[in-house]
Amino acid sequence: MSDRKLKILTGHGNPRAFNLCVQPFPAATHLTVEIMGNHMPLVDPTIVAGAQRGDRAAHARLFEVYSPMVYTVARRILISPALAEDALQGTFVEVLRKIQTYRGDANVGFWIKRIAVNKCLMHLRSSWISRRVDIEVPDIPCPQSGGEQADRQIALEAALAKISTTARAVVWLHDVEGYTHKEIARLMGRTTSFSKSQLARAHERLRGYLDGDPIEDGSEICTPVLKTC
Amino acid sequence: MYPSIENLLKIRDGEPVDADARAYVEADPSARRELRRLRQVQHALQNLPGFEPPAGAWERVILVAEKATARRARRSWHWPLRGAIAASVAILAVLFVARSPEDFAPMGTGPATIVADTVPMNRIVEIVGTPAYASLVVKSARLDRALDSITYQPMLMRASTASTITTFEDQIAVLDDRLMFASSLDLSPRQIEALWQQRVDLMSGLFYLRYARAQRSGY
Repeated sequence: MSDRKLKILTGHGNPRAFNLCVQPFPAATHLTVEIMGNHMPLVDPTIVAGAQRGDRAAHARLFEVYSPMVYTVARRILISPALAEDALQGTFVEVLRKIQTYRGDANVGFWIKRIAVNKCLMHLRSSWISRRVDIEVPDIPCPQSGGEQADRQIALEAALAKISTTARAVVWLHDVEGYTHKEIARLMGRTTSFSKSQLARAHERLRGYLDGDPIEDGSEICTPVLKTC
Repeated sequence: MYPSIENLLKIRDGEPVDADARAYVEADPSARRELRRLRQVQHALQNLPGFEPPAGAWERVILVAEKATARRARRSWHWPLRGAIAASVAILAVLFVARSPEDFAPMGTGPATIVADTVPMNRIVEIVGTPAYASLVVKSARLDRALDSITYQPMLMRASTASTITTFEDQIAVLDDRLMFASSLDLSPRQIEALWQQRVDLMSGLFYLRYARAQRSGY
């Protein structure tokens, strides 16, 4: 893995540090951009150009490369596997429909992720879906390794699933996806202070759950899944 | 004072924060521990495993996308058709409205209709004296026919509209009585012409009111 660091201006002009690295993906090896610990896969520009021309194979390639990222974001924000699949489907239907409008000024992955985040937030705004989320029991992926670290991961997954949907979306977008409070506020149609207070609340709740609740037996509460990156 | 979690998060993220809060964190081991804990939680969140999309997800995306494309194609065909229909209706409506109410020619039953239908124009002019007077009689007759052509009677009507229609009809009835007995009332030709003019004005008002009601009911 390369340790070269790049300084890249994002779409909104916020300078952020990226790592350029090669990460193994299920089907092939892709060049990825790392942002705050998350790896954004890169695809050959010819794939994007092919998708814009309506090439079905290029569409399938975009899905193959970016669907784990989209599904992960959706699962982390929405928790429910069914809702996450809805968001995944909605995202790629929109990607196929609007790929001609993609101008290529940023990595197509960021463009797809933005659509995915919007879809997730749309799901959260729907009161019918909010009720559905409340009654669904989330499955927690099993950690890759055992021991204390695995217990901590399971506890964190469980705590994340317990906090409110809005707080979870804010903490995920800010702490993991690297969105600024201003960007989150715009996406949610709220103020920057709202985003900041939701982040603080999320961390308070996470601390409460992580400190107070005993960790359950991992074998009973987790579901095996593949790690994508 | 112990810094709030919001201030600790600002310090963690390298955002500007109150100098006192920063100094407190530097001096207080428990605040430093809390800051370290927040960093660890963020790191742990970033290292949570990813998820693989469910099997068959791409096939379902294709299916939904194709359905959406077909729906859009149907809509794109529907819209020009709907537009053409709407444009045709609008043109017909404009032509209908642009026609003078006197152009409507169904059978009428008003007093002027009988005169206009049974007596030729030159005879009317001869009887009533002036072409202007004769023209008013003919206009009035045509308005009678036009009103009869509006057969639509709304089930529900605003009280104000109903009251206006009643007022028009009452005033027309009074005018018809006076015109019927014009000779016995010893009215001059000028007075009779003025009465016909009033009748035409009232009939026009009534016609447009009822026509507008009939149009609105169409939507």
